[in-house]
Amino acid sequence: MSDEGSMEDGQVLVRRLLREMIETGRTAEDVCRDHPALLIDVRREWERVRVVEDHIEALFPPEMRGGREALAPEDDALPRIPGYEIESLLGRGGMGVVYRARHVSLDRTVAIKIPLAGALATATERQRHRREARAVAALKHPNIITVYDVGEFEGRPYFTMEFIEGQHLGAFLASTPQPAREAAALVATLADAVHRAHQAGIIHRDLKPANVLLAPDGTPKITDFGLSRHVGGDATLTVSGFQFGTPSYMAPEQASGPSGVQSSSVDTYALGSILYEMLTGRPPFRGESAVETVRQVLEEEPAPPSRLNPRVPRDLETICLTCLRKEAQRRYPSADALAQDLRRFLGGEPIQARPVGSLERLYRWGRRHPARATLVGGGACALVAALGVAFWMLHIQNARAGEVALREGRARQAIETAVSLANDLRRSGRWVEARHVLDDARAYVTEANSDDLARGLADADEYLTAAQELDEIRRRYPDCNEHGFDYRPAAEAYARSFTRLGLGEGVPLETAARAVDESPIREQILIALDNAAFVARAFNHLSGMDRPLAIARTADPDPWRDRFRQPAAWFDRDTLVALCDEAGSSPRPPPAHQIVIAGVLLSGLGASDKAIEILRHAHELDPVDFWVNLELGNALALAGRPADAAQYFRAAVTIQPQNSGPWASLGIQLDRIGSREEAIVAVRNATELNPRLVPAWRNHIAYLRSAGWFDEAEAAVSRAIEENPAQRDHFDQLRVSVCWDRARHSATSGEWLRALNEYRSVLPNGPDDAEFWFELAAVGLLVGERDAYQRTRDSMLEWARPTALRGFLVARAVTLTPAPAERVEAAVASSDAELRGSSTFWSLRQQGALLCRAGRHAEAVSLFEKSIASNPSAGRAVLSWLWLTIAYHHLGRGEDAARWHATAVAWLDAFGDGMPDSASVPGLHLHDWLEAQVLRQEADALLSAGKPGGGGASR
Amino acid sequence: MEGERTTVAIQRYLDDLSGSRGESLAEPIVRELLGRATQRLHVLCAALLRRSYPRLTRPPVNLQATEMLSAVIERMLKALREARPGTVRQFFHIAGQHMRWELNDVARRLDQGASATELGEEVVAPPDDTNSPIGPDAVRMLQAIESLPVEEREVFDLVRIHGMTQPETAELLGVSVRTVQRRLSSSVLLLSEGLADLRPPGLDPTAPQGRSHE
Repeated sequence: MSDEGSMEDGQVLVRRLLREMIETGRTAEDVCRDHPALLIDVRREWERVRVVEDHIEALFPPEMRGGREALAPEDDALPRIPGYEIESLLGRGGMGVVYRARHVSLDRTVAIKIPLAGALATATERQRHRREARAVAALKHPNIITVYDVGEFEGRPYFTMEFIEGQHLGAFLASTPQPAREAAALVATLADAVHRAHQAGIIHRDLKPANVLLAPDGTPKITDFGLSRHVGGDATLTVSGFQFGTPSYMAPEQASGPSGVQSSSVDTYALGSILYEMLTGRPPFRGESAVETVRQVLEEEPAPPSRLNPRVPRDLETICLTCLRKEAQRRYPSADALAQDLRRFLGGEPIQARPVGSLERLYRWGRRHPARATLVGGGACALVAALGVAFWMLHIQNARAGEVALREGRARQAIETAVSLANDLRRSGRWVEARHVLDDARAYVTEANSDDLARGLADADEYLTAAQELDEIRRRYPDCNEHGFDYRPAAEAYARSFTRLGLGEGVPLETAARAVDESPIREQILIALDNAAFVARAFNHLSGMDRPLAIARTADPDPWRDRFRQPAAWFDRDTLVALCDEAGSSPRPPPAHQIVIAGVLLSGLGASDKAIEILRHAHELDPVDFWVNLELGNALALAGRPADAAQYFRAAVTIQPQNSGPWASLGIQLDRIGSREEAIVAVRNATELNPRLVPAWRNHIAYLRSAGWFDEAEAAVSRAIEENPAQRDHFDQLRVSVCWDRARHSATSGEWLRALNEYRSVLPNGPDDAEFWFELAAVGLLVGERDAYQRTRDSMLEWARPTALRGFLVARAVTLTPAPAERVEAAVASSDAELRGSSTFWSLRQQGALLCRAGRHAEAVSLFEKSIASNPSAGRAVLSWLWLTIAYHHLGRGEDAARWHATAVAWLDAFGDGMPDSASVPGLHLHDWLEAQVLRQEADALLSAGKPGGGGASR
Repeated sequence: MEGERTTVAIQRYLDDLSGSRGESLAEPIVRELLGRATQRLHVLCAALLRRSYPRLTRPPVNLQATEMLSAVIERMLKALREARPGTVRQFFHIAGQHMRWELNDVARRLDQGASATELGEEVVAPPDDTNSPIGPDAVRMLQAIESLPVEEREVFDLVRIHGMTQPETAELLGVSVRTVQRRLSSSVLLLSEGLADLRPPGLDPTAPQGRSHE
């Protein structure tokens, strides 16, 4: 109780300390000063709190306008920093609090800045901050505020800097445009200073008018140099991104998030923003909210300054817009280059920057290059982006023009482009992208005000759905059932799709063919028709092949394809071979799916070499086609080349890792080439992706079994039953095998007790297999559980007849120890049919054993000797040697008994406790080994007792 | 500074309210309050979208906060009009709850959108370059907030959902700033205990769980 109490107290205390950290911004070390033992706990829990705080910060960013208190106490009292006299609060900013102070010994007025408590939370961050602030302190430039000192008080960092009595540029501008030359001169000065800092490896990252202080004589001085990055390194900031300061002056690569390397050109961008604001009275981007501003920074082009202030000279506008380009590499290469161009402007020389007229140019570019033209050359991604640009343009133009007609025209154009692009994407099977393009375009339907376009869009959508459905059917078949593969569901799905597409059974052939030919998804339908025929053939639904092939022939006439699409050809190896040979010279090369079909058919017809050849050819043409890889793998597997097959199945699972089929096939091949563990992984993937894949479960369990991972195999059985309750009986049998294997494994290594328990774990549904019961009986004896043995023995005798247990093994179970006469007689009766008249070594031996247990030792000896004579190899004869030991002992022939005993023991001892494997002793079964162990115990006991006894059998 | 200080604005609402005591909230005040809530919800939705589901904001999805928002805001406004809160505090209470519900709804739909995109990109999934710690966890976070004790949740809503400062919150609730801080830190602790598995990988998963708040 007291322990529990103190543990609780500990938790309460940890919680209190954490609370203190949150509320005061103190460190874990600090709050744990009086509880050093809790430091580790507090640190660990603090990590968790920080993670959650990051999440909260990301989801619920603080309001921009109110500033952030960072959960720090509202401390109106001035801080006390040794060596300084704090005079007044100058202001609170996004990054921290600034005070005016006097350095007592130097009698110098300074500004002291204390970063927010939450901003530099860990010791590492503070250390990094201190180190880099010192680097800034080393930076001396007339236009950069000098940092004097970096220090720490009460666990919080601070730094002191040059105090400027004046205002910042933002306040000075007060939204009023400045004369162009003055603006250029001031920004040139700033650019010089920024360049100096860049040379020292320091990037400002948060340049804005509010960070440019104006001394009373008008000298501009940049403040907060190199400091935003430290704050930027803090999770709370990087997560919420634009929490500090306004994004209006931020470069797009900064605004888009913390990722990516930001170069010094973010400062060039910011200088451009400052110039822009000086020229126009407003920053280049200013949205209703910070988020909106970020969006504009990322997506929109700034309005040319001359539009807002007609007096802005063209060249200065060009310089300004060059700084503000979205792509960093298209801005000035350095702040120095900007300064020089500004000076050229001031000196009346031609500037180096070239106007781009980006907006107009982009727009024209979008019109000049219709979607499809670029698709051929450049790929769909670029196009999606281009379309996005077109949409933005539309957006911008809308906002500005506001003319209904113009909007309508642009909306129509957007829809047309989208439909055409979506069709291209659909043709290359990029369903998701096509879908998004259409979804985006739908936003313009109302504006476009055109029934035709609305219908066109709806049609495109419908075709996309149909094409995607057809592809889906191909991707999913064949289904799996307990017998293996089932093609029926695929055939039914095709039939349903064809009906929807107007190709149903009742439709005349010509009409159906025309529907295919005129359909915008003609190619996809043709593929589906061929595949539907293939599916029909796969489950021998021969008449199901005729119609799809006939429609395809009529819709897509071509000499080679017409011959390929004859149902009879699909059963005729020679025709297929001939077709494959001619495929290369056909004026229209056959599409990949037909090659795949031909390959699969040929491989099924025994022409695996030809199949492999043409699939290899198809593979060369398109090495990343999923179907080609899959079927090439299948063909190679069928041809008995598992290593090669595995290679293509590997490619197939790489291309479509979500498809369970190739994983299952890969597993089989890997098992064949002996990569057992890899095989297990592959089939496990298959069962995880498709838990209804019964054959894969079977393999999975089998591979685990043969790897000796019995517990895993048993767990797999349970999962397989869970997923496939209809297969319970089947898997229950597998479970029996797995458990039996596990028991045998223990028995083989001589772990009798463990083995006995494992044999028992198979009960009560033990297999109807006499071997199992014999092993159980023998192991029971070896453990010394005679009662258990006798129960098993008697059960075997009882069941021998109704369940047809093998009589030979039942008799052996009975003769394992001396047994009552009626049991021996029953054993004789149950094994009589199998043993009588047979002269194989094992039959002779067991007949001898039964005689021996009946007390007829002399007759038994002659049978044992005959058995040894018929098969003298040690592995076969060892049981007879032991039986001879027992028989001679009872006959009172101690020397003979000792001789055979010595022979048997010498041989058995050579293997230690474990059973020799089948390689070292061919033909030795576990039941032989177990019987040998039992008989040896008996023989040892008889010989050590010494006295040759009379009747051995206990009655 | 853009806009006036929130405290001042609230004070004005309160003054206006006392002028119209005994009646329901005057229509202009309601409009102003609604405008405020709407703007804030916009910020939150955009944060949710940009930080948790950045992939959806890029081609081919190109989802924008504005597109997502119009329906959400409409629904929230309707709910607030119907509820007709009698006091500013009540207003913030109802608005906060609805904002969380709407965010939850948006996050759910985004999750579906995100997984749909991933399915389509299964062959060549683009690397996720966002370092975003959240994602579908947004829904869980919102649920955890829902189950905070009343006092903690009210402060959390005001500061985090409505974006008020601590002094403003204290003023509205008629408690000290210190109390607001205490409830806030307590809500952070409770959330971190309830969402222990949000921790980044690599930490000791057997760390003792904090006790629940009873």
